[in-house]
Amino acid sequence: MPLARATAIATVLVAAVLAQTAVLPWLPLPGPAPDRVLVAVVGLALAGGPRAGAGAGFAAGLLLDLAPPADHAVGRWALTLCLVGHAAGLAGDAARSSGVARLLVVGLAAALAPVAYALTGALLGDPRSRAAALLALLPGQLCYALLLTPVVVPAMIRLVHGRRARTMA
Amino acid sequence: VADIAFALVTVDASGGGRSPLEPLRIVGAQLFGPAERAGASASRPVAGLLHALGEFGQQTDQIAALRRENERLRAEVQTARIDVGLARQLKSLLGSAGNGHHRIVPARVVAFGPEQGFSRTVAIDVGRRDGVRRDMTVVNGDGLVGRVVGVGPHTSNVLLAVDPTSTIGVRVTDQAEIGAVTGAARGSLRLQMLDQHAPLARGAQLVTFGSLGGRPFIPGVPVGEVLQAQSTRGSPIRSVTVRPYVDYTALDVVGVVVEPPRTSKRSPLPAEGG
Repeated sequence: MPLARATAIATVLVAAVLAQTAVLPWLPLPGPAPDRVLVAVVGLALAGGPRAGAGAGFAAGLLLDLAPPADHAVGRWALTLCLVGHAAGLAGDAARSSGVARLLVVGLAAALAPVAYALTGALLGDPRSRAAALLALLPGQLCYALLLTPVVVPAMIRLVHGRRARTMA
Repeated sequence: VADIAFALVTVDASGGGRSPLEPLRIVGAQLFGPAERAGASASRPVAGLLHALGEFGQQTDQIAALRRENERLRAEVQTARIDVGLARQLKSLLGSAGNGHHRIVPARVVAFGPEQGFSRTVAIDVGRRDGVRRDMTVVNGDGLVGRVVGVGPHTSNVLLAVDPTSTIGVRVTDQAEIGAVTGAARGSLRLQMLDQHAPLARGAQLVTFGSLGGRPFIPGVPVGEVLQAQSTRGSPIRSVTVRPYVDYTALDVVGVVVEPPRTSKRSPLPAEGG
């Protein structure tokens, strides 16, 4: 991967994390803040395959683990998003070109990521990872992820494959 | 024709006050006057229109300029409103500092912990260089916000009182009973009284009990009021829901208590009658 493209992808992930913590929560949106980071990671995974997806997920997750208000064990989001990125990358070949399949992959990832995160919390004995909190989160999480998909995923695919992917996407 | 004209001029000019051509002039005035007036009244609007057409471009510019100015003023009013809100929050924070005789570093919330992480934390824009340390009380004009759990050079992390891992010692203001509140579902708090049978009325106010040395919590900060107290039949534990005074989803200006209220050395009371 050329250095310029890697830099661009890194910038996108940093921007997504910043949006997640410092921009989106201020908007008067109902429910939880949209999971911009997750959709970006799934988009990169769909474009680049399992290895790229896992790498992007790990990097984005680590940023989420380290960005200021976070006080959980560092690495929980990195692990979660790494797994999600890898899985989405495996689905990538089949799902990349079809809009419906993309929505399906993003929806699955959006539903499974908080579950996986809550499971790591339960393993670590974090009292915050409760089923009630998870259930309260999921509907909004799913809606926003699906709404973000048509905007974010094609942009990520274009970012990975460059201009020539425009016809394919 | 030129001769005739010259002759007319000569006659008219030489006639003095009473020109022999005066009647002619009157006839002319009578014929042309009305026509001219009619013509003028008909053409004035047209001229006006043409004039207006000429000004049209200019007016469009003027409208655009006015619109821009309007926009600018509206934006100004909007920011003024935000500033007024900010000033109000700072003022009430100042008031709360004055009440308790403690020193507060004002701060603004800059980031919220994502709800996907299930934790209720915020980042504020003051850190180590502003004198903020771990386990300091964070308040705003309405009451208790939480405590500092992490300090960076320029930012700090605050664990909100509504976080499930947050437990705060509280006192019921009018009866001195003590208990502890923990973060519960949907932004409410759950109260556990030390004395399970202590009477609790709806609307009873809770303030912080205070910790040794004022860290992590200084005493006397309003926390919330009892919303409902229901005892489960057959269970000795009753669950009390508390509505916090602070709106944790709309936090902006907060204050970190960097210096707890001073306590003076106490001397024993003199014996009565002695």
